[in-house]
Amino acid sequence: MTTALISNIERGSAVDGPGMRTVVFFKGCPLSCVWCHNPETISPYPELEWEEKRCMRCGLCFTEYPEYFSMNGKTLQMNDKRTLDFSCVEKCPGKALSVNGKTMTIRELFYTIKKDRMFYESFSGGVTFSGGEPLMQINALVEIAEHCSKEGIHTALDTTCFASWEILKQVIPFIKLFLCDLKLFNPEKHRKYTGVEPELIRENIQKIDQHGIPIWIRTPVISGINDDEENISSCAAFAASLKHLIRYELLPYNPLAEIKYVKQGH
Amino acid sequence: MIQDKSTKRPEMNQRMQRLCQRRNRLAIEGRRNLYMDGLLHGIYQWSPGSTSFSPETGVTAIAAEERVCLGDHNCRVGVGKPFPYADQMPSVVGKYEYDPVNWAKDYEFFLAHSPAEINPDERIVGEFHWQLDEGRKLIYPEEIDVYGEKAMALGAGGSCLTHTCPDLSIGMKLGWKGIRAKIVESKERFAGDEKKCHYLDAAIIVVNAIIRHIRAYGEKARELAGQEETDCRSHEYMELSDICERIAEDPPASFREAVQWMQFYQICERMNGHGNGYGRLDQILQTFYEKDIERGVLTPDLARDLVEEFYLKYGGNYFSVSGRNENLDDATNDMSWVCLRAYDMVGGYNCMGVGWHSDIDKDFYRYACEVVARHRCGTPALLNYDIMRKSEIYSGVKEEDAWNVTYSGCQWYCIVGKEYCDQDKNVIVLVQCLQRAFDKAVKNQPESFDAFYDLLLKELKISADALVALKNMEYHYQSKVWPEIVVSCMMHNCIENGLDVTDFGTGNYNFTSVNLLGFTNVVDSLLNIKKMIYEMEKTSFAELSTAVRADFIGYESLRRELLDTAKFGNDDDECDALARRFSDDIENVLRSVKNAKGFHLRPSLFQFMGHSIAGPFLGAGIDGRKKAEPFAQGFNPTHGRSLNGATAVANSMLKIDQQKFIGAPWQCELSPSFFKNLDSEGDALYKLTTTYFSHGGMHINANILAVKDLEEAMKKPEKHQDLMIKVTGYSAHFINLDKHYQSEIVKRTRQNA
Repeated sequence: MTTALISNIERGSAVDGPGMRTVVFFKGCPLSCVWCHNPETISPYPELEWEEKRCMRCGLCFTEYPEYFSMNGKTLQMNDKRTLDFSCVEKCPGKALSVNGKTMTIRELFYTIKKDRMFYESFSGGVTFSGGEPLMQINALVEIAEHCSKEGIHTALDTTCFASWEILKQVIPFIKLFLCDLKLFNPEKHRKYTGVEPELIRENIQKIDQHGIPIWIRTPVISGINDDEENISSCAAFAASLKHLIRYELLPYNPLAEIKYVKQGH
Repeated sequence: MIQDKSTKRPEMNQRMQRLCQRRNRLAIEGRRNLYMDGLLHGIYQWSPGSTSFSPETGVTAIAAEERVCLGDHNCRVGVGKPFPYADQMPSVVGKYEYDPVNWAKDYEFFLAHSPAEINPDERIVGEFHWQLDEGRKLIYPEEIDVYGEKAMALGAGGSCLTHTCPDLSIGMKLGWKGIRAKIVESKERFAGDEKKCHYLDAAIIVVNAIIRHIRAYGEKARELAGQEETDCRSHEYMELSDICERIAEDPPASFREAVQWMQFYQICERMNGHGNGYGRLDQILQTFYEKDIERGVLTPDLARDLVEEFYLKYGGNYFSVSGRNENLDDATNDMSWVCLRAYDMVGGYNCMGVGWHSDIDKDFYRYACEVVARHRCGTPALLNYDIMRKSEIYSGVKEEDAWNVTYSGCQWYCIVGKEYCDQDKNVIVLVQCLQRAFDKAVKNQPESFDAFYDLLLKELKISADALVALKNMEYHYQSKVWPEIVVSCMMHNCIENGLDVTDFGTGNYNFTSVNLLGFTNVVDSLLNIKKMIYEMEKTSFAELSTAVRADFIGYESLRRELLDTAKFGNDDDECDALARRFSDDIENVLRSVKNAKGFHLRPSLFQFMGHSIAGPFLGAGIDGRKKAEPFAQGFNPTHGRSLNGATAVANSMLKIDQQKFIGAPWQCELSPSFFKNLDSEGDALYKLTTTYFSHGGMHINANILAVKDLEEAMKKPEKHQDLMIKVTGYSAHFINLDKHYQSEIVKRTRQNA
């Protein structure tokens, strides 16, 4: 049975795609953008999170698991999260520790997506697969997108486009809209700030365009990194060259991301 | 065929601007505030010696510092001093009796000594500075206190006064002269029936008093006309004087007279009560509108102008528009548009509702949503007419009556002129039922969750019985203590039967409506008991009881576990199924309890104000709620526990069979950011509400609020004098509210930001 590792599901969203949507955040991302808005989705594994507001400051975690936890001022530092089992979650008396990353069967996922169907219909919305990078879980993505597509639910894929075309093309028949990030045009800067080369991303966007699927291009605007005129105009020019571009968006930096980093124990 | 679907907002003329300024000034100065006799009254809608909202002055008024301010939710225009003739009231000078004629003589004196004032710029006149209970004691016999206190101890309470919907078309067809003739004719028919004739004598006193009061306005206008230097204003006063003179006895003959007639009726009625719905405004006025348009003496703009003034004058009109007609076709007409346009022009405090249904004029409903979005304070309230009608039929109202259902205020609705059910006036505090069941479980350890649940239903029945015992006593005395003669004149089956609307045997619908306090908190608690005690065995009744009594001090870890269980409002199937089961069972239990008038109790998933204030009185909860925290409002999610967004809230609510309840409002707090990427706020609201209604939702109060604005208004009220919000079932200026309510509103808004 195919399963997906899901970081979060956000319902009633009017942000990622047209109309009112359910946004499914897949876990795992091949990029490591220095400003990442969703750091909890980078790791492809379930991982611990810590909620400062809930912490009772009992010290149980760093007493029982001294090699993994330490306090850095008022925040909890988590070291080597991958080797840590999750027994600490159950023990945490304040329920401040939790696991981000839930394994869901496609049936479970589809059941949740279907719940807001009536709102998709009235708001011309649907489901958006986001992350992380959903293409990292291609089998699950194809299966859920196919289910939704067959049921007439509008599907959007919010993707870095950093995947081989062999992977990406599998999901093409089931996606009605691509939301593609174009972060930095300069290859060197792209490598520096995201950890990967940009060429594959641009090639994939062009191939998607050749398939005639509507595209939104989105550039997150990060002060001092990509907000220079040269970068924005290059990204915009590239976007304008696409035949099936519907919208080009500049996304403001999301300050809530800073809370997420604290939660991640960074 | 609707002639004018314009949604344009023309520039407001200077006269109307000045009237708006006066309306706002009265509100900001606190002259339209409504008060409650202490917080306890807000929970039980009854407290010893207090059977209604707080009179501001008079012998039964309590000290100002003990009162709780509910904001500018009053028709009365305070002048900061007591009724000057209070010591000369007939019942003070003579004998105070529980008797309709004794009451009517007080009413007559009170009206005769209430000044007829006409303010600058007014074309629609009539307001009052004192209510009758500031001159005549509104006190039930002490023996009722025993029942009231017993009911309160068992989590129930209630009172009787107004909160019905008279049929104004009766008076607008007959005029006061015709009403008086009807009373006289009835008296002749009941010659020999001393009790009925006595009541009808009282009714004649009341009607004559009203006629004289209207005439006093006519005389005042004539006097002002003589003092006026300009011909234009002098002519206006003369015209007003003629109108008052005519409608004092005759039925209104023009649109303007109709509006003025309604204003006089409202103030004469509201002076002795504290508020009714007044029906379907567009249906009431349409014939007058059509006739005057045809005669060429009225234009849509002039009609709108008069309705605007009517809204400004009364200060919160409980009318509805749209819905269906007798043939169940769409009833939206030209007047529906005029009424909505008028609100769109003047905004502010108003309690109008729009009755959506599946065949409604879509342009009209879209405009209604635009108006809500523009004014941001939940006005008009958006209601599902089809579910309201079904709900009436489900409760036992005949189909031939049910079509004429109207939204009348807060969460409630009723059949125009045929229903008197104390809507919104009675309460069962579900949390107290749960607490008693829980205390028993600590001792008896029920074997299964179902066994515990049965205990809860038994306790609910005990509370319902205690409530009905109190209500029956109140019903027994009501027509003697405080007959509602002004209302009865506009009800079917009352004058013609020689009975007051509050009497037994009128032939009207007399269910007892019951607001439920703490529904969501009890559902969340039940799931905790099921999961934590029975399924996972993580805690016991004894431990949980100790923790709750300690307000979770020393039990924070347990509290976190309780909070982590699924909560209502998140579209969680298990929790929602429990909510559905419980809501169905509440309705069953209440349906099994009948009042002395032969009608059963009808639950409502709403409570006016108790949710904001009951926490400290009732202690912490099994749902993990700390003592100081508010309860959930009606069947909305508890603050801070709805984690899956507005669509999940809607889905949870739609799993409840809402037609079983006389009111189930979704208090929908939307942040402006919610609409950011959607087409427009009005359009988004249209889609959200039509989807909700199409799937069985009954009522949406949509506030569009930014938390930061509310927080700032708490700190710097002087800078936010125009901030209006939907408080619960009514709208008011935020800065006029008591701090309890302000804090609760900030909390619930923050949750949805």
